[in-house]
Amino acid sequence: MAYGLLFGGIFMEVVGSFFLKQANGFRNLIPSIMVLVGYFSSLILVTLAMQKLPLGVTYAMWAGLGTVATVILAVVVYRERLSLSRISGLLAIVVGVILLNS
Amino acid sequence: MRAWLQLVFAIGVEIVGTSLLKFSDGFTHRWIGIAGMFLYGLAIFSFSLALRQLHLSVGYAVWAGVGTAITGLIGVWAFGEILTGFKVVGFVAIIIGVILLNQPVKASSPRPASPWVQRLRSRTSSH
Repeated sequence: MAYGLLFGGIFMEVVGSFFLKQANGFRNLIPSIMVLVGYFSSLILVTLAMQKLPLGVTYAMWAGLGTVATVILAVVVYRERLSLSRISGLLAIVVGVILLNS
Repeated sequence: MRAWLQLVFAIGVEIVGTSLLKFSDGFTHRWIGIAGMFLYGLAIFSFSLALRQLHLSVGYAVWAGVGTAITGLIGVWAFGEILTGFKVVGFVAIIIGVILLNQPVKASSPRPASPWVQRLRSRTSSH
């Protein structure tokens, strides 16, 4: 159940990230609302999950999986390029987030 | 450059905001919680501004990584958490990651489109 909250939170985080491009710096109203809905509900869900699960692991999964999922979204939907240095940088950050929460 | 400043601002404000949310103790202290949520929204707004120039994958990874790193630092300095070897390596990894993500991506060789995109293009083009 708690893991359901966590993965729900990660999913809503990706939803928020998805609408960020359309929001265009909050110029477009509906995408902007969706961004806030996505990120706030993610925060609530993950905070609830953290009451049942170990703190560090939950945070690491949220940040780590959230980052990986957002990158996949960015590449697949928004056709962002991934150079070798960029992939390495992303991996380094995910590893760093995990280590900091071990 | 402005985008990176907006990103840094977003990270800083987010950390203050989520800290306030924690201090509100599940909204027991209501106004602290509301202030925290306001700051969190402000952080998201600044992040969206930064993303007008930065790529989503870069901006989001830096936000997550640097935010985690600073939160970790606060934990060690302000709350007396132990600085383990894992944490030191973690900090270094994030710094390296941010530097790598800062490298300009060569726009020289265009990535070939996936086969279905190519088929779609040939069908919709007016040759």
